[in-house]
Amino acid sequence: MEGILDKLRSDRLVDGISLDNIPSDNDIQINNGKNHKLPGNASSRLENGDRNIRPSVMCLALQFSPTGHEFAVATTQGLQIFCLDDELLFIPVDLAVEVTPQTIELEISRRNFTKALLMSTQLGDKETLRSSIEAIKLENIELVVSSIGDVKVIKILLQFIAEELVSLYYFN
Amino acid sequence: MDVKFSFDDKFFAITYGHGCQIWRTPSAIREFSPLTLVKTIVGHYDDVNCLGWSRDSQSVIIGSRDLTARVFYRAVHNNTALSILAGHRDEIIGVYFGKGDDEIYTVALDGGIFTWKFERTAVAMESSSDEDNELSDDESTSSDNEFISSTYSHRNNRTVQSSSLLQRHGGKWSLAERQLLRDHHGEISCTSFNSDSSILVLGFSDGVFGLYEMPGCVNIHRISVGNNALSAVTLNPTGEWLAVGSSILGQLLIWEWKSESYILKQQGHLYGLNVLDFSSEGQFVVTGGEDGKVKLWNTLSGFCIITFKDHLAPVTGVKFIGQGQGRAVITSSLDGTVRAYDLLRYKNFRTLTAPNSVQFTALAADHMGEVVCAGSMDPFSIFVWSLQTGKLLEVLAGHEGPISCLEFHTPTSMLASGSWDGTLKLWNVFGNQCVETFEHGCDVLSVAFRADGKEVACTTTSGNINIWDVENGEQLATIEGRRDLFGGRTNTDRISNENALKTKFFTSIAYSSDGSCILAGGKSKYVCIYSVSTAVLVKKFQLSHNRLVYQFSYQILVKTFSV
Repeated sequence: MEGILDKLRSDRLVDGISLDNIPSDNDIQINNGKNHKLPGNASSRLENGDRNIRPSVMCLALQFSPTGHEFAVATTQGLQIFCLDDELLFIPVDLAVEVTPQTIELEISRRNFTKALLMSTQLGDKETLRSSIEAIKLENIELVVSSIGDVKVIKILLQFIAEELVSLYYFN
Repeated sequence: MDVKFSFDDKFFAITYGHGCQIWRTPSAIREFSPLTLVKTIVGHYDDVNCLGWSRDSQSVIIGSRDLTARVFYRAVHNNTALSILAGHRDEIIGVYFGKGDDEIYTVALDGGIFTWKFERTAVAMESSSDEDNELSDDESTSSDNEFISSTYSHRNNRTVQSSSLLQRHGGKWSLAERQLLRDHHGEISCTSFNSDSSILVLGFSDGVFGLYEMPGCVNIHRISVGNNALSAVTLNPTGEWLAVGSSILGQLLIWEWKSESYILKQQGHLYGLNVLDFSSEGQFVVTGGEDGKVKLWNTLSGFCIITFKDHLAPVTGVKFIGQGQGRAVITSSLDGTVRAYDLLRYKNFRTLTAPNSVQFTALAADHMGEVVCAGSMDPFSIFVWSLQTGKLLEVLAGHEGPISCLEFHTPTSMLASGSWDGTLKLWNVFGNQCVETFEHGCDVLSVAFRADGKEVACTTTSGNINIWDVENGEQLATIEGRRDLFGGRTNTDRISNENALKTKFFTSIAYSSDGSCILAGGKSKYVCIYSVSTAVLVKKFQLSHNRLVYQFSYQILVKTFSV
């Protein structure tokens, strides 16, 4: 793909000419000895030209979704959709097999609030997270908060609490 | 290029240049420097094409462009091939171990499929039959002189532990069967092998793929899926489903070969996308491509629902109109037609054309689809139709260059048009009059209305985004985007970095629904989000990190230059 690197690759320059301009055996092999037809040439009756160049990265069209939460970009590589909603994306990086809603409930019943809270942030399920936050007793809040050290967990919790505050569940 | 995991998943092998490396698979537990190199294998005289693991994960076979395949042991420290399997007349593109590890299948580009059998020599053999040996000797003498199978014995057996390995040292691989696919169509482009069911899959360069039962190479299934070369085939572990990919078409098929039915069939645009539009509830995206196709995608699943292929030339505009049952998609194309498709019966229910044949470069329509506007390349006019009757209502003339972009604002019935003559014009469509003209020093490339219709933003070839007040006709802000688009050099660039900066500009622009942000992108690897009120960059996204640098053979390039 062209246009990705910020600098020219000087090792591919010979006498000011880029080696990429010269067709090598590999290019011919990749294209099966044939060049691409020109774009728009779906049925070959319009034009019979061909080309042998590499695609370069660019954005051809973009549009916001009416929901306002995502936008789509038509690029050389295809349609890319960028999304604001984090909860749609489930990234099981630190997820262990034993993290399930059942074990979280069990930890809550054993009064291991911190452990339950950390497990539910890993799980990424809103209901479980809410129940594990609500289970924390008033006198234990300080202890639980002081025992959370991970910045990632704090970020998730802050975002969750901010969303919950908007709904004003407790103030009603 | 090939990379494969061993059958016990503890190692993986990857080819590079003339050689191959075996690495230990990192464990699921995080550790410092998880990847460790186990072995580097060299010895081929040309690029390595393919590799295959034995079922016991002890040996690796490597096929190369130098017409040979070599068998190596993972556990042996030196770099000598145990056997060199030669005899193919074209480069080898697939090497596979059979079910019991005593057979090897090699596939060459010209359609030659060889079966190699392992035979123990008399020293290592206690009770093996002598007839087999004689048979193979006969065959090897009869099969010309091309066939060489050589055996190297390893003197230093310090590292040798497994019994199978000991057995292997007392034997050799010899050619058992030679098949040439004479009835195939074109070259073999990709291969795959399922060792549980002993089925070899071959994809050909003319869009045919076939299933062959090994050994014996009995054709059990063959079907053509198109006219273009297949680039990848693979079978699922149980051997019922077959996935076929074609990079030229951007196509992926999953085919159940026993019931002869498609499980999945998806295809992208052939040369890339030109335009896109969201449906009113954000569930679908419609895209138009250079190949003249219009595709409807589900944003959540990412699957294409329907493809319309009526246009004969690149699609230059797509628009969703209507709501609920009355939804439709309007498309414009360089072939001189504007087509409307309804999304109930997926039919092209209206085709709009101009009196003379013109190339449409831009499209706009109101939300309900009462009026449809399309700008043309030459003459520099904007055509306005009524979709209900299909009649041409107006031809708006006034631009002095090809129309590059159109945008319709439904509540105020205002049409904005940008042109290569450097002006942005606002039209009252129903009055057939130009309300306002905004002059720019350079070509206008894209335009967007704010949701309330009080602001209009356009991008120009100077790299700026200009924001205009619609009512007063004043310029509200200018955002310089050049610095934000900067970055990304092409290999064939002949100009310096500073001058490359001057060629950067935005080619598409969109307002967010609350009107506070502008999203803009162009011929660059970035798309940028700007805050309108402060005219500063909020965030920019890099679209791709795909470098796709082709490996190149140094010798061939030297040859090219010496000529």
